[in-house]
Amino acid sequence: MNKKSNNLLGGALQGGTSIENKTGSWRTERPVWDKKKCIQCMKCYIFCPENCILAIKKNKSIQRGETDLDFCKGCGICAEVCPTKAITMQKENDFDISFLPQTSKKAINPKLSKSKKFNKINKLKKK
Amino acid sequence: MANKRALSGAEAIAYAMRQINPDVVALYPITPQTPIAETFAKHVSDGLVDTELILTESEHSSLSAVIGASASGVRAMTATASQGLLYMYEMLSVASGLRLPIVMAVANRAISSPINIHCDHSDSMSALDQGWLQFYCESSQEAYEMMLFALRLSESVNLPSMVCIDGFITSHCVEPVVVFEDNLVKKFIGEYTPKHYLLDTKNPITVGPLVPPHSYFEVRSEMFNAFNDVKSNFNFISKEFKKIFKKDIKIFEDYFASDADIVLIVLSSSASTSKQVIDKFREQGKKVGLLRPILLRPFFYEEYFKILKNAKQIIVLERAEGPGSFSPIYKDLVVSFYGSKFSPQIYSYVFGLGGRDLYEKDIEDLISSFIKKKIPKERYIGLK
Repeated sequence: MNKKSNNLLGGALQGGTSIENKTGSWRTERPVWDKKKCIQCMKCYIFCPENCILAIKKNKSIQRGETDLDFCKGCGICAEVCPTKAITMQKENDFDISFLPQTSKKAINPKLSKSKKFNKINKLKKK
Repeated sequence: MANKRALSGAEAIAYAMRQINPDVVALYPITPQTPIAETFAKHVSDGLVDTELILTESEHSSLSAVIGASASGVRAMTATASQGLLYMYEMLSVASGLRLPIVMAVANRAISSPINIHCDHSDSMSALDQGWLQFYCESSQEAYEMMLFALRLSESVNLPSMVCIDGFITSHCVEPVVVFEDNLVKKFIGEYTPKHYLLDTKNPITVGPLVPPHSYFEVRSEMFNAFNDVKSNFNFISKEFKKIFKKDIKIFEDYFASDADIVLIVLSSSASTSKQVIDKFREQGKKVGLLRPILLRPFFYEEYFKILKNAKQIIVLERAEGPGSFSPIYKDLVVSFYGSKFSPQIYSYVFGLGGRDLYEKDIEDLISSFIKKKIPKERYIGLK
C-alpha cells in the first residue's frame, strides 16, 4: 500500500490484501513432506492455520497436495499433528531459495491486477 | 417561522441532536455534561428520535462505540467533559486518524487534581492537537447552531468535531434560543453518504489495519492536509447556512477589533462580560476592541493577522494554562505575527481556573492599566 494505490481514507484497505503479503518470508523452519510415509489422513490439512496445505481431487477422492511455501510461516503444527511423522521441520537455511515446490513456482504473476491475482490463488487452492 | 424557546446550553445541544437524529449516540454522564445526556435520553424514551442509544460503562467505551458506529457508515455522536474527555484521550486520535466525522459536545470543566467540577478550558485545550476541529460557543444559541454547522463541516472534510460550551455557565444557564424548524434542519444536514464504510458488504474493506513505516507517514499526512480544506468548505457551508437559516457563521467574532489599538482576545462566555467593558471604554472614546475565536482548530493564521495587524497591544485572556510554557491561543497568535513588519505586543493572561468568576471590574482594571501603559506583571487574574 503506497500513496498512489491507497485511495481510501484513514488508512482503510480494500479486502483480500493478505494475498499480497507473502508471509512465507517470516519462516525459519520449513515443513518437509515425505510422500512415502503419508497415509492421507488429512490432519495437516485441517490443522494448518494458514490454509497452506492444498487438497487435490484425485480419482474421486481428496488427497494432500504440496505445501504453499509462499504463505507457510513454519509454525510446525502440521509436523506436530502428523501421526506417521511424514512431515519434519528443517532449517530454512539448508534450502536453496531458487528451489521451490511447484505451487510456488506458478503462483503469482506480479503484473496481474489484484482481482486476477486473487482468482488465480483461489484456482490454485481449488486444484 | 423560527420560534423562541427557553433552553439551557445543554438542552440546546440536545435539541440540535434531536433534529439531527443521529443513528447512534453513546453516552456516559459526567458533570456538567449530564443534562445533555439526560435530555437526549429523554428524547429517545419519548420516541422523538430513531437513535440507538448506548449507555456505556465509561467515556473510553462511549467514544469507542461511536467510532465503531461511525466507521460502519452512520451518523454517530457523543458528549463529555473534563476527566471524561481525558479518559477518551486514547480514542481521540483514532477518530481523527480513521477520518470519522463524529460530532462531540464538550461542557468545559476543570481537570483534576484537585478535583473541581466548574468551568475552565483545560480539558479541551489539552486535546487541541489530536486532529479534531474545535468550536467554542458563547451562548446556548451559538451552541445550538454550531452543532448543526459542525456536523456538516465535519462530514465535508472527514474530521471529527468538538463543540465546546462553558460548563455550568452556558450548559446550565437557561437563555432564549431561536430554534429552526425541523424540516429546514433536515434540508441543511441532508443525508450522510460516506465514500466507503465497514458494513458495505459489496465492497469489503479493512478499517484500522497495521500500517508500517512505509505508509504511516502518508496516511497521517492525509489527515493533516484535510485541515487545509476546512477554510474553503467553511465558506461554502456557511453560505448555505445563511441561505437556509438567515444567520452568519464566522470563524471569530469581531467586536470593534479591526480599528482598535488594544484588542482583548477571549473565548466563550467570558466574552459576553468583556463586551460590556468594551462598550464602556468605547463610550469614553478609547479604541478598545474584542476578538472572540469560535473555530479554534484549524487556526486561521492569515485571518487573525489581517484583522489584528493594526492593533498596538493584544491581550490574550485564557481559561487554560500551559504549565512551563504559555497558553495555547497566545502561542498561535505569536506565530501568526512572526516575521511580519507588523508586530503588536502580545500579552498572555490566565483567569478563571476551576470556575473562578471573571468580573467586569477585573477586565476594566486590566484594560485601563494597559491604557495607562502600566502593564501588569502578574499573569494570573483573580489569583488570591
